Amino acid sequence: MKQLLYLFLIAGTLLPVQAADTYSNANSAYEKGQYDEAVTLYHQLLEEEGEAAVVHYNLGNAYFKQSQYGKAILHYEKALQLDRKMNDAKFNLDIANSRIRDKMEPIQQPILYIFWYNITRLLYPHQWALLALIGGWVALGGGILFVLKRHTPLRRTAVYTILYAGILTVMLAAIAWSAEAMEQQQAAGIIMEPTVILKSEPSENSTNLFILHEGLKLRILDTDNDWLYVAMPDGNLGWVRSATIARI
Amino acid sequence: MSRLLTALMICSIAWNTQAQTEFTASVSSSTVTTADRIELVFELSNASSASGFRAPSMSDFKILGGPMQSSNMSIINGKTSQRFSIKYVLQARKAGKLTIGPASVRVGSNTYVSEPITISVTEQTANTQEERSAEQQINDFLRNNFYIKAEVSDRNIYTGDDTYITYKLYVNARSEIYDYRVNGATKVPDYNGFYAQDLDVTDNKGEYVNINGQQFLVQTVKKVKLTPQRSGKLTADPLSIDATLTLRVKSQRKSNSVFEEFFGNSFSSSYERYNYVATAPAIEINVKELPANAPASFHGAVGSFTMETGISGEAITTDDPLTYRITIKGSGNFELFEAPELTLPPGWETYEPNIQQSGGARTFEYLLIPRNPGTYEIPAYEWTYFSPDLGKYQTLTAPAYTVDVAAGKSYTVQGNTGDAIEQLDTDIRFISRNAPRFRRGAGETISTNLLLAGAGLPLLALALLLLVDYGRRKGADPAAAKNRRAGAVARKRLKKAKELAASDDRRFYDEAIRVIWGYLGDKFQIPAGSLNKENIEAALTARAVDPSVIAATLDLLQQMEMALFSPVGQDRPMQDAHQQLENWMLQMEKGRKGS
Repeated sequence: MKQLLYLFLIAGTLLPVQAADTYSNANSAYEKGQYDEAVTLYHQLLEEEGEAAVVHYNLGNAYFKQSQYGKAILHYEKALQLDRKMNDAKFNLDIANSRIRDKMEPIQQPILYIFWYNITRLLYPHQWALLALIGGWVALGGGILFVLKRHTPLRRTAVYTILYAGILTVMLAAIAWSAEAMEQQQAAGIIMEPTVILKSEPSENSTNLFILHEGLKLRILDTDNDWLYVAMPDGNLGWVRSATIARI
Repeated sequence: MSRLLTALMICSIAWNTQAQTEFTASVSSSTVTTADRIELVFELSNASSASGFRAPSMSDFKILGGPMQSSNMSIINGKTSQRFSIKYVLQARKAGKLTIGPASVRVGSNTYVSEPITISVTEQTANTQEERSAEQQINDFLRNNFYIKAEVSDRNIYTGDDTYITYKLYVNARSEIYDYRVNGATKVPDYNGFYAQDLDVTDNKGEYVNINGQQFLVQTVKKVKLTPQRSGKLTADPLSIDATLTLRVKSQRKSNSVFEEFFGNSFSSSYERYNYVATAPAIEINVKELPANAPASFHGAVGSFTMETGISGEAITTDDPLTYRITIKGSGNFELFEAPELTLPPGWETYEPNIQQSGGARTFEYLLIPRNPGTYEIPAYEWTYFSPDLGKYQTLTAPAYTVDVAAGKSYTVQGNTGDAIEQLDTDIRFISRNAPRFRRGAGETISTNLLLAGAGLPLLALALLLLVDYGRRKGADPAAAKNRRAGAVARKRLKKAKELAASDDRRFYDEAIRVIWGYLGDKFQIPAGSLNKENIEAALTARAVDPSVIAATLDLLQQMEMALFSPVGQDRPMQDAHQQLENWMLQMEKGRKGS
């Protein structure tokens, strides 16, 4: 188990020499203003090495510099999905979002929902679950202490441990579960085509509801063959062809 | 009160209108000639609203004018009358008895129909024929000898380019027009879609031009500069001027002519005054859209220009502002183009420019205020205009200026003045150069659900542990067992004590004390080492034992201890003591069960 952990850490910090080269080449291409070149190299990195928040962020910047705001937004969102606390990505995402055509008021969520949402967002779902796991074992430890040391002053400590650790575990588990559920709900995509028509049904013959433009983030609620049932930020719903949307 | 009055008034109006709605048709004259004009009036009185007016068939008549609508409302002695009329001017096409059919109008749900009118029309008399033709003749004559022509400098231009329309009055000098006076324009065109500028007309004398062998006096009456604001086919409306002419009339004209009676001048038999309106036709101008590829430095200027720029000094202080002057010379739509926008070094300020126009030059004077000392570059200024002659955009470039700004006397460091820092622009943040941590696959590092299961497991185990423990404690907990067995053990000891008491052995007291301590120790889980009166009392109090029982317990202990250590024979009979012990025992057991 320990070795596995070390392996994971090493893989996380040390890059293969080739990838490191590609990365620095991409960055210097960006600095020289050769954004096309930078885009190609960043994509190559993602393809060969897997996902990384920093690479998505830089790729988003390269797209932004070429005024391809839809793609920039997509990659900022991807960077934030991998690393929620990446403030630069948040900042640039806001700027990119201010450059797209569709502006709409997001729906107002109930204040309690926002409060709960913010709590669950403090940690990743698996981190919450890990805390719950620790809490569970502490509570069990308290139980064992209680059984073994009933007649000693430790008895009181044991009872409190069971009580507090137990309640805490249940709460943490609830948050973890909720956070996971919210994560699932956040399946979203970015419009990649200059204009996209939101339809009332998953077919070309259905009524045209809205005209949307590149860069808008849509929540994905359902899929039907090559159609997606999506929610606009202001809460309106409709169907779009899945080819026009890039999932985050 | 006043509201009530108003309501009453409205009611009365409504009542009136309902009661007296009338729809009539009338003509100015029922016997006319084919040359006469007939006024036909339909009048609807006292109807609040009317709709669906249907005119009668008037195929026997030429409609010279109308329908003209008018309405009036009057209140006389509190009585409201409202009239709505439609007027036609007609002329009969033929002689005979002609009928104007009934007209209808709808008021609310009712339809009103007017009476048909019959008019007898006779052929026009020779006299009227002559009169008409006389007027006609004059008009025909004037059409060719007194007219306005509009001359356009260019009918096919770009948006923003200018074109001039010159209206010229042509008067045949060698004709019956003896004199004329222009009273003014009766219809001034509105140049829709144009920015129009009237130009001064200085040419008052006019000039003589030979047209088809005839001398014409040509006079410019109006000159307008038009700058189209949009593209497409734009029309300059007709211009009409009203003039009073003095005509030389031929002497053979009959003096009893109606025309003469009407227009004639009693002072002069050979000259007649005549009012005439001359109209210049509408003019269509084709306006072309400017090409789409306008550079950013294009602000609407169309024409042909040159540009000069200059600054007031290259070494200044923060105290004195710098003047930056852009002079644009040439010809074009000066009035329309916007002031050029300067790109200034950061921290510099400017106000709206001072604009001066003189002849073919427009000067924009900017006051630039450097806030901080330093060396700054005012960037090269680019200005673009559209040249209609070349059909493309032309960009003029002014040089960049380098300005040294020294700190002036009133200069203070910004921080002290409390000025907010100015944000110049927003841009995305720079790329990150941190080494990326790649993660294969899209999945989470660890499954949340698996971890949650891992958290549930110990909780389940805990619950199980406590349950099992509880069951075992009920069955096999030594303390609980001791508690339950305390009575049984004590009774066994009591039996021994009873035997000792029967044999009057002094060891009875020893045994009795041991019974009491042992019982209390077992019952209340007090370790043997820490058994003393204080502990007992505390333990019993803590378990909410009746205070009298506590007192009895302590008292019994006291007595037994005293008896144990007192001289032989002075104590009470042992049987009594034993009885007392048994009673206490009973009481304790009962008390425990009850609690």
